[in-house]
Amino acid sequence: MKIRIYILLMLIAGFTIRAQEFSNDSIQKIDEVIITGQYNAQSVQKSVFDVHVITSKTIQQYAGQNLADVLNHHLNLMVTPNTKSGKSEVSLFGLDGQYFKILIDNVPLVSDTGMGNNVDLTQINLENVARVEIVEGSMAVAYGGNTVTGIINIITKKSSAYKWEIKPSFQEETVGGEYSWALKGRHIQSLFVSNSLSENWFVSGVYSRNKFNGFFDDYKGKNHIENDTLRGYSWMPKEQLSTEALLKGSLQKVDMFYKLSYLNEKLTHYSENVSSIANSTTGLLDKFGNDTNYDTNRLVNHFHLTSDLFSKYPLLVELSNQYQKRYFQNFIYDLYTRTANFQEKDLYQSRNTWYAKASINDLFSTECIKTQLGVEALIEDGFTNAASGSLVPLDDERHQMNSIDIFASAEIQMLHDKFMVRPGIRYSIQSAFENQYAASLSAKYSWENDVEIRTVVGSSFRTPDFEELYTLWDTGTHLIKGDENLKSEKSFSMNVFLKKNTQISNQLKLKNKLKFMYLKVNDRIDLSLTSLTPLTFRYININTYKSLSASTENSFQFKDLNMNIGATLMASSSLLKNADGSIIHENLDDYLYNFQLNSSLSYFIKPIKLQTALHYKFNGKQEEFILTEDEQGNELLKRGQIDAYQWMDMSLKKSLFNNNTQLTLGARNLFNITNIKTTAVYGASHGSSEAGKIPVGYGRSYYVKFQHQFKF
Amino acid sequence: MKKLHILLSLFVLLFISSCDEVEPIPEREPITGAIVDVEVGGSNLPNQVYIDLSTNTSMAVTRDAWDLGFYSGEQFRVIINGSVKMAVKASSFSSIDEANLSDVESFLSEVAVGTFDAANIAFVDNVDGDLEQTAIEEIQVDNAQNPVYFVNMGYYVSDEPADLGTFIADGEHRGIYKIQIFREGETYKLLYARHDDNTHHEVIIPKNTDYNFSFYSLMNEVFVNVQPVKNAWDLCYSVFTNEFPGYGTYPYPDFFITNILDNTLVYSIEEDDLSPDFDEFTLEDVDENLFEASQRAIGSTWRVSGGPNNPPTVKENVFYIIKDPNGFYFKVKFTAITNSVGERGYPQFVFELLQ
Repeated sequence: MKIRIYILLMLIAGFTIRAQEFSNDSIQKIDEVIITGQYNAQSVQKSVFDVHVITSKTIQQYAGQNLADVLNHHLNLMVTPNTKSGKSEVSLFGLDGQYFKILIDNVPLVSDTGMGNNVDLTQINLENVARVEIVEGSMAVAYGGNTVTGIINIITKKSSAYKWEIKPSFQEETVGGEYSWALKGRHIQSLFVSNSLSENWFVSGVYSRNKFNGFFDDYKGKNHIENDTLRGYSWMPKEQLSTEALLKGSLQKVDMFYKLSYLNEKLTHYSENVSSIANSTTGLLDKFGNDTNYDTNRLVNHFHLTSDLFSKYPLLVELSNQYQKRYFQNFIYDLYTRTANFQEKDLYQSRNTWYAKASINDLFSTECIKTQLGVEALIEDGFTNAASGSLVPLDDERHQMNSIDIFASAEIQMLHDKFMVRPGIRYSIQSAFENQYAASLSAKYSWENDVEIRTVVGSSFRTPDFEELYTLWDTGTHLIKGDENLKSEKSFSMNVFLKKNTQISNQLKLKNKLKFMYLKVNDRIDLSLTSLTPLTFRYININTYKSLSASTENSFQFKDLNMNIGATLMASSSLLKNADGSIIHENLDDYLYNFQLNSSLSYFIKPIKLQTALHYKFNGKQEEFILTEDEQGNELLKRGQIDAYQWMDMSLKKSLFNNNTQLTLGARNLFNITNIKTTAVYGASHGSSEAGKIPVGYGRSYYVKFQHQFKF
Repeated sequence: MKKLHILLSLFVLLFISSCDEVEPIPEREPITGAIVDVEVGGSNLPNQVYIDLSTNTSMAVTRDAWDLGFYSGEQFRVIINGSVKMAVKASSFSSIDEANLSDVESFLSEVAVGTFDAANIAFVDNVDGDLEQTAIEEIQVDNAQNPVYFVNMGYYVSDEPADLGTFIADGEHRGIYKIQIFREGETYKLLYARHDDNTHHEVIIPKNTDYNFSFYSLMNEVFVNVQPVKNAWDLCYSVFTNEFPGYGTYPYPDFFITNILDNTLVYSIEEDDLSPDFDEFTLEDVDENLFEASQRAIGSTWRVSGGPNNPPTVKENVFYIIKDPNGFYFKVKFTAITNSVGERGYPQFVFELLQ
């Protein structure tokens, strides 16, 4: 405690001195330069793909600590938190995280079940992020399989305008209405330090700590002593520590960086039930909780190099070694002495990956044709055992999956650069499955009046993940089994983007966008009932999925006012079969619909230097096909429904002391949403009102964030 | 500049104000009465344990040590061992050596515990302990009326260690037997063989009236001492074949049955603010009208089921009044289901004679 106060007093002293010294720095302007899917970093307008950019300014408006807070507002994306595991999962175009990849600086991030797929969004820290680039539609040629619906590429900051930059920040946040300094709420601290060593060299480091004390709701915390199932938390507490270091430099026309990031996450699961034992020595009743710590360590090494080979051919190399290890440790928490008796710590999930990608441009190029040739290799080695606590654990064995892909594409400019077309192909040699290929054709046409049309047509594939291949869950009466002979799922998609930028005056700008998407996935893997005794479920390639969507995004900028409004309507359908091939649902034109709307409003009040922002999203009701039974016990396919809900965040950001200090006040989840109702659960059709609940938030929360920048 | 000072002072205040966030620990009363650690034997739940409260003694027997129990009372009744998931069905055969199963797989999927088929309740003994409703029909004087039964022998006790907080009861399957039982004077004559044998064993089983049942193991071909003598036990801990209404039989771990054949009676009390709680309860508070005549009166009502990451626990606000065969009254309260590191198979209760 004393040390904390001391540090704070030091900081106060520091602030007063620094704040006097610096005065006239302007805010760095960010150009919308992107790299996702590009041969070279270039502006959004020039890209053949439609790249949506979330800038660091927008991220700051959300005071979002992790990716879940930010993506929550994006159209066609749905973020679902898991209150017990503490993870946030996300789906894009109705397909889950297996179908798109999350990359950091162009390299897929290791996760529980793969590389870049099913990434836990809460584990992606945004403290040091320059921007997030989102591309919708198949990106398999450029980024490999499992990018059926798109990719999300997180670009970190790699430069500073100053010799030294030191940025401490504090964020105090309520969790719903819950807050106290030590035992409730969310507490975040971070420190960023960078130094421009010379013209060519730059080094930076970030440290941050995010302590979430859980959401109590109706629960009474870890010290609750009565066995009335109210012990513990509605959302389990967790703490994340993340560290990142970057060294960037240039040596004789070779640009490179090396980045090391380390994440440690500790989630504690507190049992609802309270155990007891009468102690015959003391003659007292001892009481305890049966609790578990889940520890995750993730280490990412990333080396990046660009150069011109023979001073002629642009070369890009990415090398990355990433591992993720998860441990669990059971402990008995004595409720009278409040001490923990720890048992052995066990590794239950481990994944080590080696990744390399190299591409070379312009080997066969003319003035209007650019080409890219590349190779991408991946070695994945991992295991999961039954203690993972998930419903479908894997066998205890280590498994390795390797792949080497080669890809080639060309960008052809025609009609005085108005028309651009990019065909591409990728061939993937897989150790665990038959070889795969993907092909795509992207095109862009710009009219003179700032109207652009882009299309991406492509085939892609999704490889089965470790869970689908190696699950083994056997209780004697129940058996869930993976299948090593599964095939990859095949997909075909087509995306069309129509964009118009209108500059009415210097101060008034309009951007309008229309998007259409068609997607079909064949040989979809699903868990199917294959036998009744024992009750056996197996993963098989069986279903077909189809979806269509139409979206619009519109922005309006007038002086310091920014307004966005967007909407999307998606229709999806499935051909569902039983394991024996009999049909459960056959009409691919029998659609389930989902409507989403988002809007944001931001205004900079110049005289008082106050940035205000309001973000809103409406998630319309979602439907799902649920296989259940009618009163006579016959199988019945019904439409389950997940209720609609609204989400709104607002923030006020004030720059103080010549823009060196940022004070942000805000509120999340203004509609005070906690759980939403769903009838998309098995058995909910037995004529009863047996609806389930899906947690989406923990209620209206408030935060204050304080950040100061020392620069010299 | 002032503003910054104010702001940071606020931060400092927040730090200081947080120092005394401590929740008080409640006081606890010492336990009155005797503490009984039931010798179940850990997370495979290997033992059935018979407990006599008046002498505070108990007797443990491995669950798979016996297969059939022959009643020593007036009637000729035979029970099967529900603690290892045995199930039995009469065949149309009248000669044991000729009897055979045409389809073993379909027999095992039909005549078994936990198939979620409501009709399978006919293949096990009555769950309330009613001897009139055993799965094997009463043994008749007329030999022609005693058919051959096929017996799903259930499972050996597992020896695979279970994960913390969970149990693994079933080991290997014990196969299928065929049996035929006749009366021979005041004794039973048991014919038995593996289901695909064409010869059989025979054994005479006398009625020993000191006990309620004579127990026999088909697999080991021996008589087994399972229960204490009549009137000398009150409670039995066991894995139990129970009924899940609408879905037939289902195995329940951590089940306490009461000795209803000797008239041990039980009722349960949920503590509330009005009635006396466990510590205050005396002989005067006993209500004779509340006693239940089912062996399932305690059953699994003393515990709260767990789930992933949440081991089962005892219900803190429930206790039981037990009237033993000799007319003594006891109060019983369960205090544990796991040991101090959270392993299953360590039930514990405290009890006191009411006087």
